[in-house]
Amino acid sequence: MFKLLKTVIKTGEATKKYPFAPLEVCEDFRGKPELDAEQCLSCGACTRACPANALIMETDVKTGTRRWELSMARCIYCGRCEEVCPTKAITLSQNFELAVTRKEDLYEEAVFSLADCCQCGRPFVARKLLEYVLDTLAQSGVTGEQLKLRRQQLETCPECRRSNNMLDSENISHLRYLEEEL
Amino acid sequence: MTNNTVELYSTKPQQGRIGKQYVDGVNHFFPSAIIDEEWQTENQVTITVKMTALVEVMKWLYYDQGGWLAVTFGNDERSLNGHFAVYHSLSMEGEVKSWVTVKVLVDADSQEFVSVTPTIPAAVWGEREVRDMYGLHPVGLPDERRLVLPDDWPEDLHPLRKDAMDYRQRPQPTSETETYQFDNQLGNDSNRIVPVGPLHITSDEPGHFRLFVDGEDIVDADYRMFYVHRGMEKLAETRMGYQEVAQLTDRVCGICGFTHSVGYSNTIENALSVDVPFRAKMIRTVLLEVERLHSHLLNIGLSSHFVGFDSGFMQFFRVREKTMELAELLTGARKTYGMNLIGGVRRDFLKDQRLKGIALVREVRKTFSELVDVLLATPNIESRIAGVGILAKDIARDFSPVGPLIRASGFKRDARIVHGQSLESYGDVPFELQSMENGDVQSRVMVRIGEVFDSLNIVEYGLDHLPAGAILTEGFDYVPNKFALGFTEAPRGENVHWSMTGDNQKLFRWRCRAATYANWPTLRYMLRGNTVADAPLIIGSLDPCYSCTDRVTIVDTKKKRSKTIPYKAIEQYSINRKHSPFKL
Amino acid sequence: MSPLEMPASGWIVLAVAQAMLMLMFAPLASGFSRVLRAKIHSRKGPGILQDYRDIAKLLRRQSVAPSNAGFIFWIMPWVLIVTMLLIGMALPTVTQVSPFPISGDIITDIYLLAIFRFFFALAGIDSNSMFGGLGSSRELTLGILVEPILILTIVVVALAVGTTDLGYISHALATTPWHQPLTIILAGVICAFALFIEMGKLPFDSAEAEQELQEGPVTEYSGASLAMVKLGLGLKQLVVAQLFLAIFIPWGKAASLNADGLFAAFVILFIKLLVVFLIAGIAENTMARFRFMKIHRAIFPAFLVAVLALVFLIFGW
Repeated sequence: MFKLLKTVIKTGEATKKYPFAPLEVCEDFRGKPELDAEQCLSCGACTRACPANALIMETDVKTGTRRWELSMARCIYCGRCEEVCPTKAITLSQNFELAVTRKEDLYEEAVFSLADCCQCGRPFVARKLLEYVLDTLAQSGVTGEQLKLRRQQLETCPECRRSNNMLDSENISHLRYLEEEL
Repeated sequence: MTNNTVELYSTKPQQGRIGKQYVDGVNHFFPSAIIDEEWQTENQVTITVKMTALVEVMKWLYYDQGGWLAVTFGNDERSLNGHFAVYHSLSMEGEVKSWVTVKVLVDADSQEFVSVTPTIPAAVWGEREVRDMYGLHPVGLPDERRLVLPDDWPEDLHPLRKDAMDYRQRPQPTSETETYQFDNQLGNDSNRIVPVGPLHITSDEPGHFRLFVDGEDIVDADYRMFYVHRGMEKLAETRMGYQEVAQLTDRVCGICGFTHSVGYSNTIENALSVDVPFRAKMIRTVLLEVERLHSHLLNIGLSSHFVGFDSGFMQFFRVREKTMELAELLTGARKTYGMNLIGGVRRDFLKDQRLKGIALVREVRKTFSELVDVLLATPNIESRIAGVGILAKDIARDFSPVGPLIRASGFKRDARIVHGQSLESYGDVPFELQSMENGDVQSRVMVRIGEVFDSLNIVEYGLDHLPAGAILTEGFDYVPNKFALGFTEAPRGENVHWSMTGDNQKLFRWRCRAATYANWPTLRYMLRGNTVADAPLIIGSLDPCYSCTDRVTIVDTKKKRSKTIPYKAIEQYSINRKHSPFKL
Repeated sequence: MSPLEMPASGWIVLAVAQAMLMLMFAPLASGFSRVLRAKIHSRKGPGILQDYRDIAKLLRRQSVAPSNAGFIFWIMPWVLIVTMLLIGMALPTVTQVSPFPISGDIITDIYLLAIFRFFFALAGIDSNSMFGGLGSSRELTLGILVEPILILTIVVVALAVGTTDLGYISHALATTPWHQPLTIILAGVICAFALFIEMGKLPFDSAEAEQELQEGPVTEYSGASLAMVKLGLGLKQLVVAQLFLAIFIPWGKAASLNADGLFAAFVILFIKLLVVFLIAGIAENTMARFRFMKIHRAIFPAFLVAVLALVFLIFGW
């Protein structure tokens, strides 16, 4: 009995004052995912890695936009999205006080405008990714006519590129390897 | 990671065949019983035997060679070889420690297999589950009741068959009546039962116990679980890829989730012979022990609570809070660590975390030692927990329980020591197996206390001696239809997982056997002969995932009356020793 | 004054005031127990005034009863409070003599305590709930074990002093030297133990850790009735503590009805009660509970010591 009292007196009060005072969490605490939309390329890697299907990346062809949506209701705070993001756009903050009164408040979205393919006109990539790549090329010394050509090449969607490659009869020599064999 | 680091800091797969003599022995004593033999890792072998020889082979391996039944499950292999299959995994703990899985192929038309339960009682739940989930009929199984499926589930719908149902399907309820028969083995059964229902407003987790009493003494007990069966195995097969299942397994249990995650990752790593780097293994070991700390502290606190010593309960939880802080420091969350990927872990321990972690461990050790002294010096504690809820040795041998439950009955079963060389870094850290002889509640509490000290040592050692190198092995290929066992020692005992890879970026089959699954069947034997007021204490010493029992039906065999009482009432009675709810 | 006369009006006012004050301060006493319990649990606790807030909230709620509860169920809260107030009126808490000796006889007090327990148990049975009925039977069993000890020790003291009037006993023990100190001390120790059980502290029934305040009869009450039951139980603890203090620690009280003396006596009473609740709180929180089937083994020795006190009385020690 006395050992208990001694322990109690030595310990004092063990409880924290939360919610009347803020609660300190550890540095690496996995709280709510926050998207830095400036950094995001809308590549969809986070959507692929999320175990709980909390992240959605939907392309809307009519409006030419791509929408990223996070559902806090499904998020399990595992941090896989943070791990696989190539541009460190999505990170887990320390925020854990996430109760809301309306269900709509549980969803966050970001909308990215897409660039159209110069050949078929369908939107296929985030505009800012395209501009970013072209800017990088320009920085590294590609200018003038070269840059224009590159722009044209980059601004075609994968389907058009595929058909271009197949039907580009000037540059394909389908007999090349056969001649070697022969 | 370059290839160099992988070579430097990982183990190479060895070519030995540990446990070969068991296979040779089976061949010697039961010639032509083995149809096929396949080795998954150096100490895991799966032998496919003929149905006619199954019981004999199992009996020889179990009783004569020191085997313990780890898990029994089924698999729908019709797309692979045209049959269903039933697997019995045995942990061989005789002279040579290894794993032997005995597999039988079940004909897809007759859908019957021989039950080993009459010989080995430990298989009863596994076989009942196979029957529920696959519709295969175990011939000779004494207990024909449903285990997992609710009473009103349609008769011919077996969820785990590949062609049965989509995981999103919810069959309509067909009837309201409860058709589950509770059996009273030792008393007589001319009693009226008044069921209330497993959903009770005050309980944490639903489950049902039925005690057959004579005045204050328990004559027999029966129970029913699986009210919160979530269908995780089906989910893992249909909706998730390999890495996502690692996150799912973290959430199997609210206390030992990380052990399940490690167990699952191990199955794939064993099946595909992926070398996990040393650093990752040590990180996993440290986190496994951190989980053990918080779980044991919870259980010791609960034991104090059931005995009425609430101050002890609160003080132990205060210490436990520090272990939760430790977990948060090391992994970013208090409970769901989310650290595992196939091939290693995803986060490293940086120096700051290691130093703070070691300081926390030292603090916990000091406070915990003081509290243990207080607890053991409290008057009346010993009279409440000594000699109560004894698990006899023969019952233990028959039912293969795991964890502190069996270590307190004198058996030295601990997956960390028995199979330590193939379980993460347990071969490299210093600790001992804690066991006691008496098998009562006090022994279990003492075993847990000893294990807490061991865990603290391991965590400190691990944080101090973290090997250098990579934390994740990437770049391996997934090969379809490879399978293996993975096992860990959770706070409650051994968790055993088994998985088979599929050919579509997903698992073909995953079986998760939590430790408490193996321990429940022994409960009725532990309850017999004790007073009803001690029932919550005994159930608590089994350490189910906290209050898995909801209501208890008391059946007084002498007065031939019964009454259903909420678990909270029994818990109150255990604590207060006043206002018994058992007056009928 | 003679016990059967109506006392002067000043004394009646004091008696009523005393009882009302006890009623008002009962939640403070149980609040103190809760905070002490919390401190031993190393946490902050709900605050000393929490029971007042609880009672205020309960008074605003609707009172419902089980469908086949009879009138006993409804009058039980009233009975609890009235019996305790009657004892309270009679206790010589701040004065050396009892302010209302009509209800101040020791025998009357013991019977009032018994009525409390009887109605408490009866209401549990009347409520037709399983908790209630079973709690009642256990409460009565405990009564059988504890009341003989209480009666015996108090009767020993009464015999030693020569009267059964509380006021006279208190006055005698305070002012005259004790003729039989060993007897009184022994009786005092055992009476303290019995009253500790009467306070309802041994079976550990505070509102913190469990969902029910006290098992058994209280479960079915709600709203204003529950508030009264809580108040009644808290009041019993206070009254019982003061009963002990009045008999065995009677020093520091006012001799007559003057304001200074009363005020000083009040302060001293407050300190005495603080010490009593402190000791009771520490005792209840640092031990595990006895098995009910073996609880008689813990209580029976106390009875034997009470008999020993009687023996000492007879021998005149």
